[in-house]
Amino acid sequence: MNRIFMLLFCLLLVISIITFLVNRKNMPPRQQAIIFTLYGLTIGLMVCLQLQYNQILPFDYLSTYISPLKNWIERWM
Amino acid sequence: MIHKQVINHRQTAWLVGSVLMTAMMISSLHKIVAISKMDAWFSQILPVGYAIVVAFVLAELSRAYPGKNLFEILFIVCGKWIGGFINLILLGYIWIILTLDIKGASEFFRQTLLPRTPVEIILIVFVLLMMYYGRTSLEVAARVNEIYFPAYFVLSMMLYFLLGNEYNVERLEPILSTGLERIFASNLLPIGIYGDILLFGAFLHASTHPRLFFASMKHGILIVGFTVSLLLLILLGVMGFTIASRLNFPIFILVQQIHVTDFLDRIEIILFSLWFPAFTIKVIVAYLAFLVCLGSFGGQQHYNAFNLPSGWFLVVTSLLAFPRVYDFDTFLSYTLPVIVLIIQIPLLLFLYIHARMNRTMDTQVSIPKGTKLYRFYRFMVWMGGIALVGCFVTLVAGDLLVDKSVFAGFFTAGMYLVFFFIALIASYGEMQALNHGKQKLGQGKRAGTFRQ
Repeated sequence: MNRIFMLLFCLLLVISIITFLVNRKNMPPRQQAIIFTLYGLTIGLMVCLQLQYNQILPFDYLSTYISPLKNWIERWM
Repeated sequence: MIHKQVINHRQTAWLVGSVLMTAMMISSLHKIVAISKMDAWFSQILPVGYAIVVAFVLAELSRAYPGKNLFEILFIVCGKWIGGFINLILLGYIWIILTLDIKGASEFFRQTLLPRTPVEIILIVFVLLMMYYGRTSLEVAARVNEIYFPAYFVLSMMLYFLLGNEYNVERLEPILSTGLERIFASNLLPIGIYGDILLFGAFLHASTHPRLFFASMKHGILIVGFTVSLLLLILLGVMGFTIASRLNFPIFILVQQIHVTDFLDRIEIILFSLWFPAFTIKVIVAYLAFLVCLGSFGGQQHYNAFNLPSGWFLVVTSLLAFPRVYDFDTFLSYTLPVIVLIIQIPLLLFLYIHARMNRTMDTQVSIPKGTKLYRFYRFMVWMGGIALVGCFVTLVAGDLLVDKSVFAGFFTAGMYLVFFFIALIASYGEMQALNHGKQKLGQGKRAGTFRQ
């Protein structure tokens, strides 16, 4: 992964998390919960990305299994 | 956003045009060409019909629940838990649209215009731009779109003349020789992209004239159907189906084929500098819909607080999803149409039945009956409907009844295009008639029909 991207992304992410933590007392609890979930997912998925878990995700097979359209078209056309 | 903002019927139609048309330029067209070969340009009529039905249900919802958006309506109709679950599915669907668009655009720019720039950098710049617009509202996007969409539309139409020296009509022959099965299959693929019309459900709370809102969306859908049909006609006439079906980004290569003079070089840079803002508008509309959906879970209308976390979340998920162009392409062409049909058809059927039972607005058409304008409006509605049915009938009758001679092929194709064009003109007439009726009734003191 590009280092300039990593630096820029982590910097912006940390700034926005700090801003949220400072301002969160003015927010309703449900809104806070949603924002916490989004930040949590972002950090978790960023760790997955660093460990290159996306390389083992079978996107190609996943698309084929979800959709019968590809098989149907290939079989009948 | 709570403060009142307004966009008019023309802006709505052009926004629909941007949302549906620009996504098709990245990819998808080559898969359509691979399936129905030289008849690929007949691939828009079924998705257009589908999108019009979705727009109609949205307008009916707007009539039954004025001032509410799709997510709020689901909470009202289905309750907190089931409504919340359906909204979660819709949130996932909008997330898929966003991820596809962000990753697709980033890969497209890396492979065509910026080969040395890492995809992460293109992606984060794109998301930062999206987050900037996320602080505003649909009105800003609609105004920006008013500058770029006409330019993009005119340039797309001009391709026929700019590529006139490369065009060979024999590459389209024999017309209607691939069979109705293949044409039907190629009509299924664009449904994934035309299903994006559901994004406008997030802004239903702003619609004050449901019939005009529907007419505007219908006009936008028909602009897209007609323009993409013509683009496919140009693509096939210039490249032929064999080359067009093997290119990842056929429209980019098509634009590169423009050789008007020796000194006018790299026209694709000019065209894509106009295409990019139009495409950005599409992603912004999807992003605003994502924020509105999140806001409905938060139980309040201000979605600004979700802008930053949503943006960062989309950066990471876009990087994680679709590692290769092939994956993205397969998903867009074959999986998205199935997801759209599985999610949208039961949902819209259910909501339509509820909307019919809970109508609160009685007057649908803002034109007094018996007037000349009303007769003109009725004529346009009927003419548009008959022209769309005419497209279907021409296609089926042309394939089944007419012999496969060159003359018969061209006659059928000509009839199909004429009917499509009549439907487009009729939808414009319908939209303008409704707008004039609204102005005459004095309700037009508000600048538009659609507020957020």
